[in-house]
Amino acid sequence: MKLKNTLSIFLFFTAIGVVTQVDAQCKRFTQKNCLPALSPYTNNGQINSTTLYEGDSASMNMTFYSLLEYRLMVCTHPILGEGAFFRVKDDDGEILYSSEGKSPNYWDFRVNSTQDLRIDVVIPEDQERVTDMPPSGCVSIVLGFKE
Amino acid sequence: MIKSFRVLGILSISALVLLSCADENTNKNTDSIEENVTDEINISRSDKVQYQRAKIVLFSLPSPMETAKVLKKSGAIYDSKYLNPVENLDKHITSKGKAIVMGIYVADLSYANVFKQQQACMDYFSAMSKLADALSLSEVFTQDLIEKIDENISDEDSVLQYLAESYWRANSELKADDRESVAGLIAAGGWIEGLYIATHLADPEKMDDPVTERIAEQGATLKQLIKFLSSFRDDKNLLDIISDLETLEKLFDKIDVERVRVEPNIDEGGVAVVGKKKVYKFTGTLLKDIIDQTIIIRNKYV
Repeated sequence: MKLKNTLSIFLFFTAIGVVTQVDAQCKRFTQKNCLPALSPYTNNGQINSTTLYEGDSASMNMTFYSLLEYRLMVCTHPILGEGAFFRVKDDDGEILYSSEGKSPNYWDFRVNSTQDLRIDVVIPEDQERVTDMPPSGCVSIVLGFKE
Repeated sequence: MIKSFRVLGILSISALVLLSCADENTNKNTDSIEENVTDEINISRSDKVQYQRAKIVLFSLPSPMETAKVLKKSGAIYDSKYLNPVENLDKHITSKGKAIVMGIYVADLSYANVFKQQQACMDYFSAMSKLADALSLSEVFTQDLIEKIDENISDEDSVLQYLAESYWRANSELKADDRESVAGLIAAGGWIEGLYIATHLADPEKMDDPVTERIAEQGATLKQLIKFLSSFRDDKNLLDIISDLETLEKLFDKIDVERVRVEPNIDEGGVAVVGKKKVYKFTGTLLKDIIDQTIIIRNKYV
């Protein structure tokens, strides 16, 4: 029992260490690879990043103002492959944009009225991968705005 | 039991490999670290499922910088009496109070900046710097950033960039430190102050005022904000602010919203224009009720 408790405490703090390291790596990745590409748009100052495995997806609802122009960018770590894409949907689920099969990792747009849109990021599974463990990497959704 | 220990063991080894890689060379990029992990450990797909999260849901709100720009474009004017004086900084003793007021100052600074109020910008940057120290945010207002702000305070675009940068640094540091609920309080403070400023610039008698429309639009953001804060339900620091926002939400829910489907098009600059057109309608004293409730909530936190 004592050994189990000691092991649990050790693993708890080790896991915290891992999470902190991964967050720091994701932050550096976003700072280096995503934020500079937002120019001439101003970053909205919010960090929306997470670590995804191949085959995972992430979603986010964001409010967009009608009087501003936006650049929505999704940066994925190269280890996740080139198949990653994002979709933007309105509140009825209608797809307004999909980056699937397109090369830029961003979309510039305006909205007719201020509204919430949902962004889905999909990391497809690599069917040709030979290893059993799918790779994981940082995914960041960054937003820039301008008048 | 054996399986649990196996998964825990794998996590532990992963952790040690990750930590040792990071210690050896902190400048290494994530490719090499992740590749080392996957090379050295052969985890089966069923084991992976044990600790892999399902679908990740992230939250995001319009920043106070966006709200200030939108207010100005809607015809708002500058009046410092609607802002929270920097002298109120010392009234806040708790981390919660400091976090909320930090958000309030981000909104005030954003508002002052779009109207090119240099002295106010300096004062609010200074207040935010003190709050960042008090909240142990050591990576936000570095000496380098403070010097750049001092040199470029007269340039609206530069100030906006530095504000966005400091906001990003604060959010990322809080995320890295597993203190995202503090980021939630900052976001809440910024949102409340933005709405408070807007309510003072709106004429409750004029329903077609663009600022009135900006207020109505905040209903969608409010729902996002409540969802975001509610994701930290265990944090008791957030309960009363969530309750305040829910009171306001009930009022926003009474606004009539007409949604009109519009075909996507491209504007003159070649940019896509998408989404529905929305028309808002306040009935009775609803706008005044929202304004009054906003003032009550905002004054509770300054």
